[in-house]
Amino acid sequence: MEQGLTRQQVFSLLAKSPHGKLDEYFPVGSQACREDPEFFSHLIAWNGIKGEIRDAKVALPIVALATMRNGDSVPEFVDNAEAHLALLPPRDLLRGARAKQGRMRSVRRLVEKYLRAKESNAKSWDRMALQHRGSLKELYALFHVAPSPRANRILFQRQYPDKSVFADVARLKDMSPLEAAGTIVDRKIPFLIAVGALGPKAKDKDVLIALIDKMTPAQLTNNMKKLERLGVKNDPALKAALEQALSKARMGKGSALKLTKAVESLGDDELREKARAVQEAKLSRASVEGDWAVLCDRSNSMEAALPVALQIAAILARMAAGKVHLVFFSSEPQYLDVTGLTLEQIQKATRYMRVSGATSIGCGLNYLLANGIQVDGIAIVSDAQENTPPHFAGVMEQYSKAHSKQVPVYLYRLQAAMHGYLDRDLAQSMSERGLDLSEFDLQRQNIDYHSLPNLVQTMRTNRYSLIDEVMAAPLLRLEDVLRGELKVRKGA
Amino acid sequence: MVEQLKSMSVTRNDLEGLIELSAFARTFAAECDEVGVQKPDWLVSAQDALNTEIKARIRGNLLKRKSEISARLESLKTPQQRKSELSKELREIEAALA
Repeated sequence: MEQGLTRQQVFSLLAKSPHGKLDEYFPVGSQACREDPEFFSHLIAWNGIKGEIRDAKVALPIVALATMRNGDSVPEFVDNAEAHLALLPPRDLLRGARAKQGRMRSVRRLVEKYLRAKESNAKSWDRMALQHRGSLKELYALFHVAPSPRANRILFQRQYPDKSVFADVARLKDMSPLEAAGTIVDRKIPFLIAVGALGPKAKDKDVLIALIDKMTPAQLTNNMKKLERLGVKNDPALKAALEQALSKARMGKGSALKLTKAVESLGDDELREKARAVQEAKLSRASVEGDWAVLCDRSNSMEAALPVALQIAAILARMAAGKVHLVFFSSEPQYLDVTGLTLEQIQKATRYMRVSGATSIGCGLNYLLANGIQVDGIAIVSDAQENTPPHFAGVMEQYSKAHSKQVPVYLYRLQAAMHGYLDRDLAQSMSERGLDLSEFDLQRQNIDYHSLPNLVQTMRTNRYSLIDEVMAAPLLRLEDVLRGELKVRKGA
Repeated sequence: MVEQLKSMSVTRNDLEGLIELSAFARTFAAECDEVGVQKPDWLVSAQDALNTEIKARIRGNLLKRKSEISARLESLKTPQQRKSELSKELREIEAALA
């Protein structure tokens, strides 16, 4: 991609969190796929393994199929896109199919193969139908796929086989709490299905123990406050159930920063501490090599930069293998070593920080240079409008010379509140001197904090190593997926 | 590890983490005895807190497991067993009403 999109712009796609608006992926995604379909296909595969944003896992394969519709497309790349769609649960496949370009003939054929493959295994079809009844019905209807007789009876006629899990779910409300709890565990009934079927019995202690065990990390996050109200902290058995669920959540998938919302909403100190420990454990599992510097703009009108920079510094402090240096700059630098600190600790240490003064991004780097602090990567959180020397690009040249290496620089660009006539854009200055700068565009009103760990995860001390990692992600084949050979994908 | 013990929060650690801290505290205490140094107050407090929390967690786990087993036994009862239990309960009620 020598002209047109940069790889960094393409990576920024993965950090989008459009909350269901999949069409937002199309402008950049289509261009990326047209310009470099091989890279885009490996990106789909890499995101399937490493990505945390569900929308991207749905949208990127659809973008690929929509873009590669002509006869020139490489069959392997089309197969890879279809395979990744076939890995999705029915709800997400339906969302992809409903997106602007989702009603293609190729998607229709894929949906039919998908449904037939699922029908071929009654046990796993039952589990899927239990959880995704509505989505499955819509897939059959939207794409005019005739369900098998069994699927038709269960989905459309509500005639359940004897002793099936559907029959048990229907009976949950009539069971005693103890029997209901045992049935939930025995039949592995998903949390949401059980709660829907149980009604008021869901508050019973024995039932709660069974339900907590069934919660996914995301469900645990969303229901923490409710569990708190139900007295989970005061009962030893419920507390033990919650501890075990949180232990699973530490190791499981799911956004660490989504936990932040749940954590902060908790009134109870003990529960909040437990949830924070999970959040930190999750962030610590991802890793970024090397020592890093985060340069945070605290010049006038950069109130938005402070919380973003603190989040990034906290994420890096958990993820980075090495040291993390936080430098606030306006026309003077202010330094803080945040290695290993939590967000709470960083916020406490910077609670008196205020915005004021002019903008000299270079003074932040100058501090590191003057104090002999060597880093392997730099993240800048700023609107990138410098108006006071030293300018960053000039100091960067000196820094590179002093340490005999080119350090990658990542700019988290925030909305500029105003433009002065002295302002010079950092990206332009860097380009004029032939220096590399990778940019993440955060110029929107509401910054999505959930996407920040995804962005931080793509930062590398060697700017080419991420590309190598992406290209090494294996492409999938639809045939293999439908045969069920790829039930669980582990991180590469 | 000493710093971890001094600044530990029993809430933040899972059971394995607590056991690890407890093992270290025990070793540290034994070493204090061995070299003839009085155990520091923070160590005594830490050991008390750890012992209490570990016992509470183990008890909680056992109570949770008891609940799970009871629930599963209940769900595994045959209709005949349920009928028999209900009949017995009915007889007891009728006897009480007589």
